[in-house]
Amino acid sequence: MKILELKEVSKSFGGLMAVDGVDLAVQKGEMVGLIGPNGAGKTTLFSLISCFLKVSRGEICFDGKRIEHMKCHQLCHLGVGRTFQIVQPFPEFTTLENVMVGSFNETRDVQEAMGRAAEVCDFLGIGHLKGIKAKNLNLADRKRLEIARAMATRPKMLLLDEVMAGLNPTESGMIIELVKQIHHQGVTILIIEHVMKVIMELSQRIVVLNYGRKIADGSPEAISRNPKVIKAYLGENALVKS
Amino acid sequence: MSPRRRMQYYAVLGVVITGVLLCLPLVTGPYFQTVMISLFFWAFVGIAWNIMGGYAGQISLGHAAFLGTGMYTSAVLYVFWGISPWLGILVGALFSLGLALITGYFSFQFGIRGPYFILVSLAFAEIIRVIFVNIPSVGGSQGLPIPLEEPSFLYFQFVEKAPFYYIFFVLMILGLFVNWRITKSRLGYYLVSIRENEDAAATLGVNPLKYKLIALSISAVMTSVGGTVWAQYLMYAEPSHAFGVTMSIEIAIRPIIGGMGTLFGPVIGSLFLTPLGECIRLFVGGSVSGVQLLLYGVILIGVVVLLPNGLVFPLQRLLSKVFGGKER
Repeated sequence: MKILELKEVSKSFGGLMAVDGVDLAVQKGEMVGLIGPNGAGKTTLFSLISCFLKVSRGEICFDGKRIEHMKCHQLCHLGVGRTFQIVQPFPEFTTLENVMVGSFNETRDVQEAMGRAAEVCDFLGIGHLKGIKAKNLNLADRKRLEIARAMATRPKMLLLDEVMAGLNPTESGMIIELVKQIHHQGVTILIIEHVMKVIMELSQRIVVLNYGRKIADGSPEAISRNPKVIKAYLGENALVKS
Repeated sequence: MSPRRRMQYYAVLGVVITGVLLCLPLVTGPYFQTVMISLFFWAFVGIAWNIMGGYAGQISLGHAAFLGTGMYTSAVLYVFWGISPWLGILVGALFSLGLALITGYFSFQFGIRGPYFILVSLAFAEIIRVIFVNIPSVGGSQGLPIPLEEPSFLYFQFVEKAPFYYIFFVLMILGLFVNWRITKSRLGYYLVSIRENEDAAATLGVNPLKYKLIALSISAVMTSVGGTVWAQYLMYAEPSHAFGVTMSIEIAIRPIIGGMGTLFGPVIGSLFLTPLGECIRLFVGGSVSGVQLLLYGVILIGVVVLLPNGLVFPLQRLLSKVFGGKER
């Protein structure tokens, strides 16, 4: 069953086609990687799916509903959570309070929200930081906080935008494990990532964007051998030499 | 010291301060009471402003619009139709709510934020001021005096200062209570999340438009209530005072100096600024005209430079030193 479906989605900024006629379907429970060189339109596509930007053309359906004209908060109520490439914590809130804002989707009660947020913090391994203000957290913890907040809204689908960027191997290893666990809980995941090793390890299917167009869509093995993808990443000559 | 113990100490401190404030009018004269009335009034409207400006982070320099609406609505109802200002409070609050929803909707729906919202709010209050200056039937720029007929509780008129002292004191306590309830509810968390990062809040399911409007509405209604009582106390409603830029700044400055987005910030700000203004006026007022404003300004700049987060934080540190406990 398709949980997310994009039909002919385009977005232009003035004369620049950032996303150009992309079709994409994500099955329920799938983990899909979205890759592409810098400026390929990955984050723009994310922003379109999460209703931060309005599509210029095309339709986006989530769970059978058209979402391209919705507001961000409505999409959250439908069950889409997202993280930002550049982390966006509430700096003056503590870790727990940050996550509580997400928990309030399910309950009005402050005590209950606090309890749920605490569970999510523990699950993501930031339970010991509950009382620390977000502005005093390091990058790895902020990235986990970002995921925790999104998870606290109990999403059906999670959009992860470069959650590993800027982290050392130990830290990103930790996040990979977390993403796997979240996936095991039944959450559909669409993930943007630059580190190939990570995306190959995590994704069941990979979609490649280049200059706003989808150039490949398939299993990690197929993608790693796809000449179009190699060309997009390494240039014309790489193919000739190999 | 255990947190429970510390709470008890703070509760005792609160009760003592309240008790002293309640007894003060019995032993003090009208001048002192006047200063205290101003102190409570500015603290109350500061609390109202702070819900919008401090917690939700939508800084307004047009709150005089709501204050003036409160002042004029009850004054007009009383002067022309003899309707008790107690009822006028409600009608004024309704008008202010309407104004808040209209201006708020058109500002926030179209994404007006930060400095642009400040300008919109400023212009909004100015427009209302100019309108009132040009309505001769309510006194134009002369203003509308509220005649003292028969001092009575029913008509909200008192000859003595003491009743107003108590009314403004109760208002301030009510304001603190409302504010406290907000901070302990989902609304409070949502307002701060919008201030801290509106986009992130929206992705977490917070509707920024809705909650900004709620914050503005609460703020406007409270300010309007303060305005009605203020008009009864001054027995006068005058456009350049009620709707003026000076008024908007006076409303905003106390929470800013005291500590934006904190419960006691506006009260501390008023406790500092109101007597300060009074003292400066008293001691250097007559000598050279304008020198009091100059001094006031210099002191304000000094406070902002030295304590950019507000007076409430060093005070908090002091209290936690006295009562123990760790800082947050």
